[in-house]
Amino acid sequence: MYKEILQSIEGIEIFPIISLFLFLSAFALVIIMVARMDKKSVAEYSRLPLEDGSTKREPFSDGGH
Amino acid sequence: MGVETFQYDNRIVRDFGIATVVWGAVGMLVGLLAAFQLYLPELNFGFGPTTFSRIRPLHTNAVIFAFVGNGMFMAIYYSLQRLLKARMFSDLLSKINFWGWQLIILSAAVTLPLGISMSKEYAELEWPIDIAIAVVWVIFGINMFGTILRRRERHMYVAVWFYIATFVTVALLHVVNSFELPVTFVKSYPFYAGVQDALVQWWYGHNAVAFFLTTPYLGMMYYYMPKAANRPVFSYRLSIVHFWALIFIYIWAGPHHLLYTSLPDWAQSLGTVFSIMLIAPSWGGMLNGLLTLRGAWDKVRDDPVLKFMVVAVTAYGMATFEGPMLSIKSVNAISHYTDWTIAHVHVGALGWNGFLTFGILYWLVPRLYNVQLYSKKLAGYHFWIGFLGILVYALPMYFAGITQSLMWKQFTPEGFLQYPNFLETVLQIVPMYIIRSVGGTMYFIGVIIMIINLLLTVLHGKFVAEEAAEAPALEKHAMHDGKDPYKHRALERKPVLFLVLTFIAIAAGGIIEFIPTFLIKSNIPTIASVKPYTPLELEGRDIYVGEGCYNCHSQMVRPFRSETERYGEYSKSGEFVYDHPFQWGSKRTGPDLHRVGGKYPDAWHYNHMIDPKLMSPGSLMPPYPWLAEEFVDAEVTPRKIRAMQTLGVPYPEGYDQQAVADMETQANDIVSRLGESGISIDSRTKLVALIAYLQRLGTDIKANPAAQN
Repeated sequence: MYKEILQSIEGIEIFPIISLFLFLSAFALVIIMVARMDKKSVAEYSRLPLEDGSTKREPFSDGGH
Repeated sequence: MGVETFQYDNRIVRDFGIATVVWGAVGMLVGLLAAFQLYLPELNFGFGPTTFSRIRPLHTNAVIFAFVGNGMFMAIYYSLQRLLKARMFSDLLSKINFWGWQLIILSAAVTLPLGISMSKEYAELEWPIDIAIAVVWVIFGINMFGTILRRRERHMYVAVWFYIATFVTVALLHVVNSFELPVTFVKSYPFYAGVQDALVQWWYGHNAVAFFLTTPYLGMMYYYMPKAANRPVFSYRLSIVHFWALIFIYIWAGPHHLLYTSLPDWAQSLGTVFSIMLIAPSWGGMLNGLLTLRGAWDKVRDDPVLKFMVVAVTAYGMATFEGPMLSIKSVNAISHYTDWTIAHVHVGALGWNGFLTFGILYWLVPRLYNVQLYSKKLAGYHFWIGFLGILVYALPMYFAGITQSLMWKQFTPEGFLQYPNFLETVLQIVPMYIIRSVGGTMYFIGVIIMIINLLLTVLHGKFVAEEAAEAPALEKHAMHDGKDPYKHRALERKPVLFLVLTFIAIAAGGIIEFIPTFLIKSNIPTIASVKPYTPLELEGRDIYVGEGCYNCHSQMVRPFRSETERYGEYSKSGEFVYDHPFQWGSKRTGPDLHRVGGKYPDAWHYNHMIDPKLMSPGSLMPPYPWLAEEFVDAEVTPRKIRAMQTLGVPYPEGYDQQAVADMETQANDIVSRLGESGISIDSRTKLVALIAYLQRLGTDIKANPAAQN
């Protein structure tokens, strides 16, 4: 039954191909961009959570009672 | 360019933190009640607002939107300011976000027990609340983007991307899934019907898990794990790939909730393929989180914060491995409609969302109050009782799910169902329900221990409402940025472009799935004998929807011999064209009802609704005695008919004027049939309407089998 429904939609066979193409190209693009990032910036970015600009002194080291 | 001094707003973080803890406890307590009700039906108290079918949506909504929702806002409001080195854009918007969200939760806590529900899972709330959610969500978005635009840090850290994706996608999901036509202030019908409604709902349901329970929490993982371990994330490059791959793939996988249903096959396959692909980014993210602790594993031994986080990320890894497995059709054939699903979601909710939230609370509260955590020991107790609680919860549910499913499918050598009585398969797993409630109780005790510990921490500390900070203004960075050819960096500098690209990535999947399915609407082989519901049946259906019958009963006979033997002819997509909303359900604690029409006499249904045990000794279904006392509001019926006409249901022109008279005639027929069995009932009661609906269910194609497609 579904085959009949699908055949009645024009160009339906292209949909899965479009999705595969979209995904692969997006994925490839990201990989290329990531590979081209320079090491120094990456290290700098990854430290962002650790440098939050707060001037509050944390009075505690680790742990509690 | 000089260094600027400013303050981080900790008050909003604290407020959301309190809300997280309070609503979390409430949501889990309601969940516990539901867990006990499953084997002690007396705990339904014969009272509507405390009945399982209304309590279960309250539990899911409370945990998702109140506990995780507030937890997300708490964690985002803290980390966003610090990652961008800027105070939140507007204190007023922060406050509106906070109080608006609490009001929404409150209105959900009132309406759901009253039986005001759209019945679409995790989107049960009625249209006025839907509008409020949209408004508050947009305010959150404005506040976030305002902050991003005013930031003092050029690079948007990966956590911020996850927050942006969360904002955009949840907005889109909520709007698309909430297209509904109001009939009264507390009742509306979704624009979509049947197959389309199911596809949109599970596109929403699946991606609510993805973009409400997952992406914000991944952002939180990328911020708080490095914070707690005091070392940067394992691989920042991996986090970029993780982000784009995850948000792109996730959105396609929704149809895996509808395997073997009347949804077109190609959409089911698409859902399966993308679900399996999803393992890659999910595990990339999980490993990135765990490997952040490389060289710091000794800290995990005595830091409760890291313990919670490690279990959270591991639970994420287990749930995201299990999810794709459940999307394989042969596995799904066993798991679907059973407690396996319940086990799966609780590994995610208790492990991933719960434990990450607890870890962050233990890390954050002492910092907000400038004091040490009151007791590491208590936090350790919480960890262990919570961790064991998850196991004691999940393991019996796996066992229950598989046992019940195999019993449903078991045939005797002669070719008959071995367990033709559905109830038998439920009673078999009652011991598992009992153990599960013990696991849930353990987890809840852990939360109580946490509340005490955090309260004592707060009492010993002094709240830092305005936290001083300093950072250079942004312009200084702009110059050396100009030389950098790196493309993604350019992207991060343009948050609006980033937003648009994220939107495209998530919209692609939805569009490709929806367009053909909506085209089918015009091509769907309409089944000639499928007719619109009579006014009384429509009223009965609305009662079915509002009471939440879908929480335990599916209306979707899958094309398996074990199901057609048990229930009758498998369900066809053409049978649901007038179903606003669809009622396929996702769990069978009771049997499927799609072919229940005509199976039992009216008197059976009457007695069964008043006290299920009368008709099925040992039944765990709650009683619904109030249905025999409350009346259908016939004044609204014509409006409902007109609304249905607007949605394309082919009632004759002007039928709304005749609807009430037709309704009375049909009700009187049922009442006289009940009278023959010695039952007296007012024809205007809800129970009469419900019986009319139940007796209609799935009978259309029986009337004229030749008209099947």
